[in-house]
Amino acid sequence: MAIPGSSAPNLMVPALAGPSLGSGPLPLPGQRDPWTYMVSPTKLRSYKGVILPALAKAWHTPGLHGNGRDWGRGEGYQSNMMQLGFVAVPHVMDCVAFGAPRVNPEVSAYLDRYQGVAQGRAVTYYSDAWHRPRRIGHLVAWDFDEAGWMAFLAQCLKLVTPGELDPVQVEIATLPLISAIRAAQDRSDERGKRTVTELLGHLPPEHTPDDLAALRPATTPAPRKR
Amino acid sequence: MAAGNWYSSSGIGDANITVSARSIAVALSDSIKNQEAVAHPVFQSMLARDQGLGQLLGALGIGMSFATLGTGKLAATAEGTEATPTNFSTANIVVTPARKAFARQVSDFARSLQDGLLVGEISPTTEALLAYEGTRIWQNSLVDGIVALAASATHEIGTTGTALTWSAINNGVYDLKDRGAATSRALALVSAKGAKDLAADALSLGGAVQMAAQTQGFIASAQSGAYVGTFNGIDVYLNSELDADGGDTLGILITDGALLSKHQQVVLPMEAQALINAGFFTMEARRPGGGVSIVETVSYNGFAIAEAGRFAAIRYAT
Repeated sequence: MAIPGSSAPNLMVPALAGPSLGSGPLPLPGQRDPWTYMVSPTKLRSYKGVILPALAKAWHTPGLHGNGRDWGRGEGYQSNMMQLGFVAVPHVMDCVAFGAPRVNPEVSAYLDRYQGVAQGRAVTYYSDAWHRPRRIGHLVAWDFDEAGWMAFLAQCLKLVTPGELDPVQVEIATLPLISAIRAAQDRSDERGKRTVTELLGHLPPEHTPDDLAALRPATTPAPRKR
Repeated sequence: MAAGNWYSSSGIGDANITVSARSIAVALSDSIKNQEAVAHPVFQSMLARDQGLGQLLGALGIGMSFATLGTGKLAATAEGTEATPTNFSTANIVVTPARKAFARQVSDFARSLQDGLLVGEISPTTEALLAYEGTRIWQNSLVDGIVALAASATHEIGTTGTALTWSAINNGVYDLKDRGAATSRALALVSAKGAKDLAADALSLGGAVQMAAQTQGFIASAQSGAYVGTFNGIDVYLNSELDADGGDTLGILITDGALLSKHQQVVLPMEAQALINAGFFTMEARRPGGGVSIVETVSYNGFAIAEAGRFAAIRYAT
């Protein structure tokens, strides 16, 4: 059974022209199976001043959370998530990662597949398209296209909320953050102030309560670099 | 540092062509932490229920229904009036075990030359080495499957893009209690980054939290393995299998009954050369030819979140 809207790419076919990273096997974090992103109109969060969906992953791994015993596209997992109000994000959609459109993707519009080694054994590692490995000597760093990722999340939100956000959705996305800020305000030390500033950076200005808005510096610094 | 099958001239068989005496021991790996996770009572409880469900018989999977009982209230009903029966409602979970395998190849010659070099957990034979590894691999797969479920958890602790804080965990425990799920043992798996975030926050909070006995557990011990401490009634362990999501790491908080696993015990047929039958997994040796044995570790298992209220993802900036 095909996943609605994801008929084109076959996630289980070996990559023929995956990202090339020079000589030698690519060190990877480990084996990681493919997944289908799921989006819900009521699973939302605030990130860097924008309300975005909290995507769930419906893994394609056989035997996991309702999946059958054979490789598929996570139909059982997706079915469980659909009962919770999630909708599958199609594997074919117009999105951009690292400045390049994901046209005719090898694997999926939002997944890439890497072959490499982890602890001496060959592994296949699926990554979202907004993370990309880069070799630095014997290390591998994973670059993160955060702007592209946030744009993709905004696209996903449109799948379930094409118009304006409902006030309830705004509350879902902002209330936990506001609570966390108020908890951090109870600290009187520098750490508390740093936390407040960091969390305020995630809260959309237009949905910031007046008393918290007054705490914003003239220019709110970006959240602490990870 | 060659990698490959265990022949006399490759893989760990390189020990044979060294210029000095050598032993073969198990290399340190961060996956050792999975052993401690699986040994925790929450995991053991899950596995006990798994076995309590018995063997699959004529079916490919098992189902578990959670009936909504004890949630209603009496309604005022006049004498001579028959109360309308209320339907039962259930939440249903299905777990279908899938076959998972891992294989090693060992040549007779390598074994003959090097069995005597094995030391530590893997001495004195190649079979001991492979049995030890089979157990570790099954444990790794078990933990990996469970932590992957965090990516679809209904409940979350922590804030995206920010460090994990003591108050986030504290609030998460209140939410757990509010869902009625804080009545048994609790286990959390977090990365070293998550534990450091928590420790830095709790130890600098001041007042009652900083001075609480449990907070002193954040003063790291180099002799307690992956166990960090017990905070808010949660046994916190480090783990390296955790999934990433955007720029975040997803740890897990689980209590008894959060998860459902099912292993089908597959007894190897008499014609098979059974190396190990550990119930949850088997190890079989095959000799396709050329004086080489292939030892395959196989488990038929599946996992699911049984009750979302007993499970939470712990989200924090990676």
